[in-house]
Amino acid sequence: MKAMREACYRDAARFLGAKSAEDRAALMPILLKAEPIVLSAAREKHILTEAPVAVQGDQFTLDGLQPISSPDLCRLFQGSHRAVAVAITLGAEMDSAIRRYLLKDPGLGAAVGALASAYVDDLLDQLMAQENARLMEQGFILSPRFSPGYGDVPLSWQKPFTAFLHTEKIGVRLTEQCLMIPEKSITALAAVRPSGMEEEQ
Amino acid sequence: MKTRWEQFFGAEIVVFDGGMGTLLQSMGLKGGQRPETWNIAHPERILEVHESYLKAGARVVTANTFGAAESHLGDKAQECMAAGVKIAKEAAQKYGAKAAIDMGSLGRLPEPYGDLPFEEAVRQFREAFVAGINAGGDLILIETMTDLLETRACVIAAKEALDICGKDLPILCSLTFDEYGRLLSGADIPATAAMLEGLGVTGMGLNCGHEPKALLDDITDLLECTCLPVFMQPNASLPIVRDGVTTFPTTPAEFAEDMWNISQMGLHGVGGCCGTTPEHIRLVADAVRGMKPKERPYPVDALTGKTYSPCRISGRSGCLNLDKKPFIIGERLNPTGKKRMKQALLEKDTDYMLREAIAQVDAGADVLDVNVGLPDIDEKAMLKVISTAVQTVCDCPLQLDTGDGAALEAAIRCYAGKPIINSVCGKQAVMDTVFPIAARYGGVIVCLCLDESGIPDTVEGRLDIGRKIITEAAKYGIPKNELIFDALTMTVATDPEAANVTLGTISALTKDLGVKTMLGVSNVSFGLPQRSLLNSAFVAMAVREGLTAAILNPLDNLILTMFKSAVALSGKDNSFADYLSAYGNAPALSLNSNTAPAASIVPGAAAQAADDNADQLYLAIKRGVSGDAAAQVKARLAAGDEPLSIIDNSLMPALSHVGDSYEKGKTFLPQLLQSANAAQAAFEVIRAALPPTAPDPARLIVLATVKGDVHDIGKNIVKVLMQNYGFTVIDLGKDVAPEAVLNAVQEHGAAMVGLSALMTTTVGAMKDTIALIHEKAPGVKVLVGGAVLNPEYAASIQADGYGKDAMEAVRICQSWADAR
Repeated sequence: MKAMREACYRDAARFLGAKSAEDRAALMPILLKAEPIVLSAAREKHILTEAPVAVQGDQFTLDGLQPISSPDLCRLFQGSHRAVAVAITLGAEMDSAIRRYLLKDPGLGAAVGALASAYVDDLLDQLMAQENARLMEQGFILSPRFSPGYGDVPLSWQKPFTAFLHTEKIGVRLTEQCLMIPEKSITALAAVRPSGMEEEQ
Repeated sequence: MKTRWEQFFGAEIVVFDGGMGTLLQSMGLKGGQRPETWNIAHPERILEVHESYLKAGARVVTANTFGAAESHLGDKAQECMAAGVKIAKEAAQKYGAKAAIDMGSLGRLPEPYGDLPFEEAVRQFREAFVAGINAGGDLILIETMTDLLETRACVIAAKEALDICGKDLPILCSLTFDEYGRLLSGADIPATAAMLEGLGVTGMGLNCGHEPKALLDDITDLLECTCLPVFMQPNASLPIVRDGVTTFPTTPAEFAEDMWNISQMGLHGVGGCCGTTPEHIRLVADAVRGMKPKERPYPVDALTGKTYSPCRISGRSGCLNLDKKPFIIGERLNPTGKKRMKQALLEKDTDYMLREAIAQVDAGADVLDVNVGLPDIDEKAMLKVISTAVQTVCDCPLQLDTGDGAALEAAIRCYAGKPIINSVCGKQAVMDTVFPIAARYGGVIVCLCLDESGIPDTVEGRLDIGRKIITEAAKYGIPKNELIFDALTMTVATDPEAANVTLGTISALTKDLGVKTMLGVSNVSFGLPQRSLLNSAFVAMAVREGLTAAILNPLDNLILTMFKSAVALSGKDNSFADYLSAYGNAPALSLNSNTAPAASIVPGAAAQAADDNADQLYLAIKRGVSGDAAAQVKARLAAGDEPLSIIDNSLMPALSHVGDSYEKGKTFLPQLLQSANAAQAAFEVIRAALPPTAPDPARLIVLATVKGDVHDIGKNIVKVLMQNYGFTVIDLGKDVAPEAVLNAVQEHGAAMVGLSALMTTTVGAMKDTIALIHEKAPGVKVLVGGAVLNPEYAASIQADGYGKDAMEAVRICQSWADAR
C-alpha cells in the first residue's frame, strides 16, 4: 500500500480548520487513523490527453468543441497551442467509505473525507509534474492547472469537457447540475507553453 | 436440451462485428457529434460499415444505436433508434445474419449513487428498446456497462419492452471491468454474473477496455462463475490519443490469434470493440469458422432440465458463494422485539438503521436481513428505502425479508446485485406470489417448511412440504440449488423435543433432499434465561447437522464465537482461514462484550483519565470515547441517577465545553464530531430509560441538501450536532425539491429548516426553497450553510440565518428555539 506524501496531511488538516503547525499536530493522530482507510478505499484512475487549442479574442476553443467565452482561459493559453486535459478519481468506494465512517464514527469520517480530498489533489499534482517533466525534455512547460467552475468558466462547461475526455471510462459521470460522481474526482486542463515563454512571463 | 443461445444462434461460435465509432470518425464524424444522428443524416455510411463487417464474416451486426436514448438525444432518440435498427436489419438480411439492438449507458448514474431515479432510467431504456424492437431488431445487446445498478435497470427495461411488444428475443449483456477486475461502481465479476443470471439474460460477455490478452484473467473468471454462454468483444488495445488523433496498436493478425486462443476456453461468441476494423473481424471469422464452443461441465437440475452455476448472492460489490461454507445472516434490522428499531422505523431514522447495519458487518455478518414490517408502516415504500440505503454503506448481500409481495417487488427491482428472498412457504397463495417475482428478478429463496396446515411436528412432515416447494419452484424454471430451506426453530420452553425435530429436519433436508438450509437461531431459547448459552449451543449442533446459514445477532460474541468455532471444526472452514482471521491475533476472549473501547484522539487524554475526581461521563464525551460514555451512563442509571440530571449536569456541559473549544479554534471538526458521537451513545442509553415523548416542536428542524446538489457531508455533520444538542431532526437527504421540504415542514410541524448547498449552480434551488417556505409556512425560520455561501449572499436570498460551520448552525437554532 502506498504511503501518502506530507502535503496530504498538511492540506487535510487545513480543510479541517488547522491554521498552525500546532493545530496540525493536534489533528495528526486522527489523520493517521484515516490514512489506511483512504488508501484501502481509493481506486485511483485517470485519463490524460493532449489536445490542440485555439484562442481568438476572448473565445477559447478546445479541439473542435464549441468555443467558450472566457478571458481567464484565454489569458492562461496566451501563446499556447496545446492543452493537457486530465480527469482523475478515487472511485466510488471512496464515497461509500466516507459515508460509512461518518455514520459509525463521525469524527473519523470527517478526517477520511478531508484526507481523501487532499489525496486526490496530490495525486493530480504528481501526475501533472510527471507530464511537465516529459514536456520539458521537448522544450515546453506546463502552466498551473485550471478546472471548470474556476474564474469565469461556468461549471456547465464540465459537460462538453467530460464528454471530450470520455470520463465515463474511469467511472466519472455528471449529475444534472454538472457535479461529478464519484465526489473525489477532479477535471482540469493546463497550457503547454514553450519554456522560454514561461520565463518571459 | 438446447440452450436459448443455441436455439437462436446455432451450434457454432458466433462472430459479432467490430468497432463502429472509429470507422465513422474516419468517414467524417466530428468530435462531440452523436454517431446515432448519422442514422438519419447519413444512412448510406452506416449501411456501408455494416456491409463491410458482414462481408468480413460477421453474423451479428450491431445497430448504430449505442446512445439512442433520451438522455443523449432528447426527443430524437426513438427516431434514431428505429432508423439505426432498420439499417442494420437491411444489411443483415442480405447475408442471413442478425441485427442487434445496441444499448449503452445513459451517461448519468442511477440513485442512490447518482441523481437519476432508478425508474426513470428503466423508462428511458424501455422506450428506446420498444422503438428498436418495433423496427425489427433480432436481439438486444446491452454493452460497455460499468455500473451494476444501471445494468440492472437496462436488463429490466429490455424484458419489459419485449413484454410490451409481445416478442421473445435474446438479451445479451456485456460489461467492461477495470484493471482491478471490477465494474467502476465496485462489483466484481462473480457478483455481476450472479445478478445477470438472476435476471435471466441469454448470455453475458466482456467488451471494450483493452486488447484480448489483457482481458484473459477476467474472461477466465467469467467462464468459471457462470454456466451461461459467454462472448467477448475486446478493443484493439487501449486507445492512445495524441494531438487529437486516436490510435489502437493491436494489429488484425495479433487480435485474431489471441481471440482464437481465448475462444478455445469455451467462448460462444467473438467480435471486436473500439479500434477493431473489418480486417480484424475477417481474420477472427476465418480463425473460428466451423468451431463449436468448448463444453463447460456444469450440473443439470433434474426437474427443470437446466444447467446451473454455483449458487451465489451478491450486494453492491460483495459476493457470496452459498455452496462453500456456512454463513451468518445478521438479524438486527428487524423491528420484532426491538423497541428502538421500531421507533427508528416510525421516525424514518435511517441513520440509526445504517449504524446497526455497519455494526453487524463489522462484527462478522456475511449477509444482512432487512425487515421493516410494522402495522403502521408503508412496507412497500420503506423496504425499498432501507434496503437501498443499506447498500450505500454495506457491500454485502441483503436478505429482503417480507411477507408482502408488493414490498418485495418494489425493493428487489432496484436492488444492486442478487439478494436472498425471505420467504416462500408451502402455501399455494404464497408460492403463486413469490416465485414469479424471483423468476423475474433473481434471488435465492428462503423456503419455510410449513403450509396451510401449519408447521408439521415431524421431520417427515416438514420434508414433504420441502418436496412440494421444490416441485412448484421448478415450474418457474427455478432449480433447487437456488432454494434454501428454513427448518423452523420452535422454543424448547414449551416443547422439549422442538430442538431435536429442527436438527433432524436440517439433517434430512441436507442428506435426503440435497438442499441448503437455514435457521433463525434465537427462537429456540424464547422464554428461558441466559438465552445466549442455549442459542450458541444450538447453532453449533445445527452446523454439525449440515446447516448452511444461521440468522443470528453477530453482536452477541458468544454465539458468534461458537458459530465460527463449529464451522472450523466441521472442516468447512478451509485451513481454518476464517477462524484464524477472527481469533488468530485476538486477546483473551471476552464473551460478554464485543465493544472495544475506542481510542481517544485528544492529546493528553491518558493524563486526563487519571483524574479520578472528575465527572467521568463529562470526560468521556470531552475525549470522544463512545464506549466509555455509554458505560458511564449505564452505571449512573444503575446507581439511581435521574436521566434528566445526567443530561443537565454532565452531557450538556461537556458538549458545551467542546463546542466552545471548537469555536475558539482549540479543537477541530473531527474532535467535535467524536464528542458528538460519544454524546449520542450516551443519549441512546438515556433514551432507552425514558418513556417515549413527542418531540418539542420548537426544537424540530427539517434538514435537506437542496435540489440538484448531491454533496451532503456538511449537512450530515450539522445533523449529528443538532441531534446531540437536543433537536429532533427530520433529514430529507440530498437533491431535495422545494415542495418536499415544504411538505415535511407541514407534516411534522417543524419550526426550522436547514438547507445546504455546495455549488454555485444549486443556490438557485436554495432561493426557491426559501421563497416557498416563507410563502406557505410563514413563521418557519430558514438557516442556510455551505461552501458557496456567505452572510451577505444568505441575506440576499432571504435566509433567516447563515451558519458558517456546524457549531454556529446549532447556536443559531438554539437561539431561535429559546425565543419561541
